Amino acid sequence: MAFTVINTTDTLEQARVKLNNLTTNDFGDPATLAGAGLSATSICGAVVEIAGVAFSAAGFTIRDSSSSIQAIGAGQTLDVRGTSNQITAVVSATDTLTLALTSNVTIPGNFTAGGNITASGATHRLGTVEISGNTIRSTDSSQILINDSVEFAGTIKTNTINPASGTDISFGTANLTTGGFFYSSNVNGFVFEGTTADAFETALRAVDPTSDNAIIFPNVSGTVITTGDTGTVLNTMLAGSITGGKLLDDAITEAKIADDAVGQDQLKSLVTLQILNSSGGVLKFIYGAGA
Amino acid sequence: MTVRTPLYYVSGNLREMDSDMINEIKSLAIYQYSLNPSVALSVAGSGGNLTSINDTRLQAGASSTSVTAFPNEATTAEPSTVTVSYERITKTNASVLVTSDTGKTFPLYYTSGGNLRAMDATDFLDTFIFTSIDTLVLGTTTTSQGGTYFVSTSTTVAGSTLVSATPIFADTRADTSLYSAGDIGETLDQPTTINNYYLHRVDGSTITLSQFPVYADASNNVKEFSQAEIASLLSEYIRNTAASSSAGYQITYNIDGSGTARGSSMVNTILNGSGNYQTRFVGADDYRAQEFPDGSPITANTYIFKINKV
Repeated sequence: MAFTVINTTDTLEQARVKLNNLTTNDFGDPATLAGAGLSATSICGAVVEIAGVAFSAAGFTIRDSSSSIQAIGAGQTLDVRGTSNQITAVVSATDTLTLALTSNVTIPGNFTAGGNITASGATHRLGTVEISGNTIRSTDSSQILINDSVEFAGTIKTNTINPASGTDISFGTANLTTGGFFYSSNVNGFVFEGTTADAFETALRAVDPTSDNAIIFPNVSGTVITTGDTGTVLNTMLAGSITGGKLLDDAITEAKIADDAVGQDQLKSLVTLQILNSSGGVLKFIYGAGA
Repeated sequence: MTVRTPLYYVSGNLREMDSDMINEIKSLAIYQYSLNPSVALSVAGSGGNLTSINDTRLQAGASSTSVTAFPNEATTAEPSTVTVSYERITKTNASVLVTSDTGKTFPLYYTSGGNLRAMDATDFLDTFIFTSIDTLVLGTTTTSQGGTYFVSTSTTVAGSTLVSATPIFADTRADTSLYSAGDIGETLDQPTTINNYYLHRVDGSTITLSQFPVYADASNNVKEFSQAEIASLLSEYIRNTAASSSAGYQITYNIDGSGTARGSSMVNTILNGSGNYQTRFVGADDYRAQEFPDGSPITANTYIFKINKV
């Protein structure tokens, strides 16, 4: 039986004959469906009714997440295919279909893992972030931006810490502790902003050392004295004696010499003048500095 | 004798006084003496204790009377000498106590060893007092002899004070003009005073020291004498020395004794005539004769008032 074709050149009569033949010979008499126990009155309806009966007896239906379904009837072959770089489908005895990810999986959309992700490879990348062994790096940048707080349970090892923006690295109110040294190569050294954030700071810095030096803060509370201080050094801060070389010439005034403090031993080239009574007894010694 | 050079304070230093400064101190000692001489002379009409001196003069002889003729010259009494003794000056030495040497009573001087030493009393005397006494007993009567005495025929002498209006001596002679034949039976002694001699005390002159010596005070500090302090010390010692020195510096006065003449010599003059024989016929039975003093004045004695130190 060939296809019934109504050509463009057919006449209406020709078309009528062909259509009558089609319905009479090809489609049959729908009244015969009832004799077959079918309730459908159209070919399509009969087919669907028969398929339902057939599949429920010898086949099955597959349906995807979009509710698209396919009925697999008896004797039909379900063709299962993987997707390149995604899933492999392997049919094996007995009646086994094994679905697996390909060795290299490419997911065009998102990947969500409800559990853990474990990878045993040497190098892993998330975008341009690469995890290789215990090394994380960016493949397209010299730095990785972690856009959140980071806490390390272990030790942070690095040789350089730079501010993300601006010029400052803030430790907040946390303390910095080291058993080693704080090195500052910048001429500004340590800068103290003080309680007022303004244009004025106090810098603690060192003149370029030409040898190892140690400036030791004593085990005592107090205020550090600088060469810019005036009227700051207290007598109680002095230990021992002030040598003469540290005093300005002619700087000691009379008021700075205690009463009865100067004895004959302090006089240079001591000369002694005695006041004698009329019998020659000494009334008083008067000591003076000689030439 | 040890003369010391006292120290004075100048421009913050102690310096030895020069001779002018030391002489000022001596002058101050003399001035102090002049204010209250410890050897004082007073004048009274009699009863003095200095040597008695005599004034002599002639007086007329007693008149003679006869009922027949004038008594001749040989039998008429010759003029005689009247002698008046003057012992009017009384010298009184005061008893003066001095401040004893405490060891630092007197000025300081610079020793050869380079120390300051207080003079002792001997030094003080040697340096200031004895030489002041030497000056006081000079023959001049300037203020440098203040407090000492001299004799003048005048009652007023510049720079001195009359001790008494009573003269210490009067030179008298017979006043021949008062004798007259017509008055024979004249009062025998009719003198006239040629010169009175008065005792004067030289005035001193105030001295203010230009520099003050220094001494060791109670705290043994060097301190300047005040004018009053050094004046008081000088006064005590010069008055004590003048009145009672046993070292040859006691001031004394005498007449015609040892020492240096002070003021006018007191000259006792007398007429040198042998008598001016005069007669007077009073009446038929009354013939009188008498010899009056006559002649030229001559010096019978010269008494010299002297100051001395003994």
